[in-house]
Amino acid sequence: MKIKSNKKIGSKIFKLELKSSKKIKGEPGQFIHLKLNSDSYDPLLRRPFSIFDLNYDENLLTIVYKVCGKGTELMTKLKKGDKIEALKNLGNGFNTNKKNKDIVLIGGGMGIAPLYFLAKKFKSKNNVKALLGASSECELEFFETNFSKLGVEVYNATMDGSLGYKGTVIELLNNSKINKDKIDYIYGCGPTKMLKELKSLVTSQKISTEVSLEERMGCGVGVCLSCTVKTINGNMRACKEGPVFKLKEVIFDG
Amino acid sequence: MAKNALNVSLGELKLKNPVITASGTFGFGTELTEYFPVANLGAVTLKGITVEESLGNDLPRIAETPAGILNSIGLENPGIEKFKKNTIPEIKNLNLPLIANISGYSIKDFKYLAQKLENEEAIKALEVNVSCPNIKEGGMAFGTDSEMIYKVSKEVRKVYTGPLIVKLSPNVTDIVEMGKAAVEGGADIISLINTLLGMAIDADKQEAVLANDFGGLSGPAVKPVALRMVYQLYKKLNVPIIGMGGIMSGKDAVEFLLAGASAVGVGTATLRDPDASQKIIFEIENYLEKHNISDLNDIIGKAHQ
Repeated sequence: MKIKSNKKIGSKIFKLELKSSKKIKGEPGQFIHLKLNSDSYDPLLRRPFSIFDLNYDENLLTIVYKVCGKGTELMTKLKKGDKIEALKNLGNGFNTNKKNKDIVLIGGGMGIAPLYFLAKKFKSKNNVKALLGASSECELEFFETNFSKLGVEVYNATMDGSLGYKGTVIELLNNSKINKDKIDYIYGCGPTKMLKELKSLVTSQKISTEVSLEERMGCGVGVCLSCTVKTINGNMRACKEGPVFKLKEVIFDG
Repeated sequence: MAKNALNVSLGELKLKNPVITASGTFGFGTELTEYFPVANLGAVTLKGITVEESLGNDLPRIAETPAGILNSIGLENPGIEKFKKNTIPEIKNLNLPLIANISGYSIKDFKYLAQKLENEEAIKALEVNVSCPNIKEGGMAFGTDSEMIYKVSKEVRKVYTGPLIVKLSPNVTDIVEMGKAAVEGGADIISLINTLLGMAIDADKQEAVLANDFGGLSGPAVKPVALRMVYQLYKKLNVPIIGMGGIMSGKDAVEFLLAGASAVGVGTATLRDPDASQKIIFEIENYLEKHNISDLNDIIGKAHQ
């Protein structure tokens, strides 16, 4: 794929637009696996990214990434016109076949990224609310602006209180005026701690919930078994059977 | 180039080319069929099987290191019964030689697994893994003790009549002693290296990266160690060798052949590029053409001359 743009959009957060010369497929919750270097073996493995947005007409795929290590540091140097190898259309995404439903999207940190693409799919046929959480405004502002532009109802939470509710996004859900009895479906993505809390909340409220898990991956194509997820149906691979799972089926340790 | 220029023989096991996928990096052979025609490979070594189902180790199970990865998967696999019942019917028509890889916690386990696979037509050879660093008993504990290697090989040999491969651990002082023990026990072929025991520590979190603390190192970082060991064994043993450890390109593969391997295992490269093993076959072909070599066998062990 060819880099169309690579822009800094917040503290350590970048938006990368990738253009494909071929017809591009992908659903919300699926991911792409980027090979960051072809001239060295450091880093050796590819890096997985959820799809933030996908323009099917222009074959343009957008990801949002946060610089947190060697791989993402390298990515900041990508510039317009550069080529990058990508495995596309990986994993199973969210179930988007919904109509006239009250849907709540809950994202924590970079876990917000795949929910934007999802919100776009949902918004015309459903009533969508987005609860977005991050450590600080500088991590949330970009997402806040984009979700608001879509016309979905946005609720913000930051740990330092710099934007919206002060605290976690789960606390926000608990303390907001959102009537939980009216929620038909919840879709979430974020740190494991957030998903664990979400699980106890939706279990008591009996809300059907899907989540995308952020396990550390090796191959991304189902052979190395690095990203195994424990579920009530046995071990599953986040990269192959996931990354989206029904939350009630996921078993969290501890 | 002649059509059979890449043919190699590992004793009875004849391969159309020397490229074999390494166990644990290619699933059960069906996972990557959308990326390239798997039947183009010399052979596929299947994910390691144990007697009982194993859910593997806690996460994180993988850590990246400079030009390498550490893994501690812990032999997650469905166990021999489910493997025979569910997996074999799915893979028997892959149309290339399949090598089963077995791991045990005792000699009895290895023997039991070999017996179970003796009459499986789809399985053309058996690789005995006495070198997994990620299980607490058995595994590498066997592979670092030449007496145990001898016993495991001998017991498996009694019940398995097909080509018997013993996969050695590099975590030993004298690899030749281990290779000799396997051959004396009845191994037809030696494969090496399994991963090197290693560790990664997160300086910010001030703790081990892997849940299991230690893991097996693979990738380009280990290639010089693997090459040296293949070279040493070729000098001292009279059985064919499958060389592996950090092979990422056709050139890497050729280096192993020059050191004395008759075939090569591609492992970590597949985790970076799903079709790496096929690319390596093409690159070996190109090497032969470039050097005007009509038979790959002419270069096996050539670095010794």
